[in-house]
Order: sequence, then C-alpha cells, then structure tokens
Amino acid sequence: MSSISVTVCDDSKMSRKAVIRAIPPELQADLHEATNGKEAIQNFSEGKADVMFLDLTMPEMDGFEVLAELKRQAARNFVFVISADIQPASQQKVMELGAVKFLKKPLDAESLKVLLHEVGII
Amino acid sequence: MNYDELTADHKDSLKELLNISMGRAACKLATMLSNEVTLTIPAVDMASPEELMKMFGDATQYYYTRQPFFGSMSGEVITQLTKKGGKTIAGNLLDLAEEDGIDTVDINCSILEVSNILSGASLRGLCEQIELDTRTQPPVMYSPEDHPIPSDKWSQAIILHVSFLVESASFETKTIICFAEDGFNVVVHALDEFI
Repeated sequence: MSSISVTVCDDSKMSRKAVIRAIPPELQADLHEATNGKEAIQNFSEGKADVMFLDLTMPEMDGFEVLAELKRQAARNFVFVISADIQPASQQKVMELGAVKFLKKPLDAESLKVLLHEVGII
Repeated sequence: MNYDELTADHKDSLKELLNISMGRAACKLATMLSNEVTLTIPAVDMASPEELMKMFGDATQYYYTRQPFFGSMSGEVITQLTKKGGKTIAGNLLDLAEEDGIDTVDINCSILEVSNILSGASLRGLCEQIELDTRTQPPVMYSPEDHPIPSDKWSQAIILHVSFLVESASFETKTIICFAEDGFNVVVHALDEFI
C-alpha cells in the first residue's frame, strides 16, 4: 500500500507534535510540516498535502485564507481544521470553505482515528 | 526562573496552552454577546512587579479587575480592558440600548463578567491542561494607582496580550497572572511534565 502525503500546519511546534503523535500508523503518512498558511499552500502545490491538518489562527496567512485559496484552486485534498477557536460561527465558516471536519484543540487521538475511518482515508 | 530562561519549547507550549484556553473564552463571550468574536494570536511575556506597574496605562483609558487564586500555587489574575467599547459590551450583555442610560454600575457589572471569563480561561484553562489544582475567588474592580502591586508578595507575572474583536465593538484585553513565591516554577515544572 502506498503512503499518503500529509501536511500538518500550525505555528506552534507543540501542536504540530501533538497532531503527528495522534495520526494513526495505518495511515502510512508521508509527513510534512508547515508553520503558517503560506507554507501549507506551498506544500500543497508541491504535492505534499493530500491530507492537511490545518490550524486557523496563524501569522502570515491564517487557516481561513488557506481554505479560501484551496477552494479557488478547486483542490480535491482532505483538509481537517484543528483549532482552539471553537465558536460555532468559525466552525460553520470552515465547513463552507470546504473543510472535511472541524476538530477542537486539544486533539483527541481516538476521535481522529474514528474520523479518518469514517471518511475512508484509513 | 524568569521568562528569558525558559526554553523555546516552554514558551511555545505556554503560548499554545493559553491559546487553547482563550479560544474557549472567545466562544463563551460570543455566546453571551450573540456576536462572533475574532481572537488575535496571543503574545506571552513576563514581568517583575516593578516592570508591571510601569506597564499599567492611563486609568482613564482602561478598566482593571483583580482576582485572587490559590491551590497548587497562589497569586492573582489582573485583567486590563480598554474602556473603548465597554459601553457597547455592557449594552450587549445586559440587553440595554444606549437610550436606556447605561451607567457605571452596568458597565462595572459587565466588565467583571468579561474579566471572570478571561481569567477563568487563562488560569483555570492552563492549570486544567497541565493538571494543577487551582481555585479562584470572584473578581473585583481594581485601581493600580491606588493599590500598587505588592512587590514583596508577587515575584513574577505572566502577561497574556490578546485582542478580542467583536462585530459591534472592539476592545483589547491583557490578562496578567501574578505568581506568589515559587508559583511560576510550579508551572514550569508542570510544563516539563506535559512536554
């Protein structure tokens, strides 16, 4: 089974590590990191983001802008938003912008595994 | 230990844990105000009591509240909120229109409510995540000019700068957690365990 490219985008190193630790081994992820939205878009254009775990509040380019840019490019990758901004309005906005699912911080590894099963990635 | 002695991982984790906590606060505020709240990226800094007193701004521009805490460590949380927008926030929270006459009591009541959410989010949220037991007392209005920070009592303070932008009004807040004795070292030790 071939690996899938995964970009974990968050300005916090601790949060990126937490997401990477939570990714189930069954995913066979080819892992990449991005510290802001610009780097995440760069990773996507280099084919490094079949799956993207995306924070919202970041410097340079935030998660909403990343989603809007991916939508503009008609991207067909899976974007999971993982954020501390848990307001219903923010959750609704990211779904409208094409995110597969909104996950609140701190990320629960078991919930992520269940979700990846549900959407058929593992 | 002071802030400059913290490792990059300590600073990153402290900022991120407070970010998660303030996200919860923004959600509560949004529900209370029936408005979306935009949260800026928090900046975390530290100061001694002397540095802190110099940081307090013009009392005509800011509201201040203070809220003691105790448990695994003790100290108090001081919240600074810009007066700009305060009346609108009070109107929103108390469901009052400008023509109803929003007075100082209404505004103070709203400021205490908002600061309780912010201090609860910052301190209790942080302690919950790093598994420290802390309890807080209700906040009271505070005047730094009349009651300077007791430098013999508090040794270090974490300063959390966050702006909450509300559709109907914008206001900025600073949440300051003052630690007594070696309280900050207790937090750093808990962060080590967490990392």
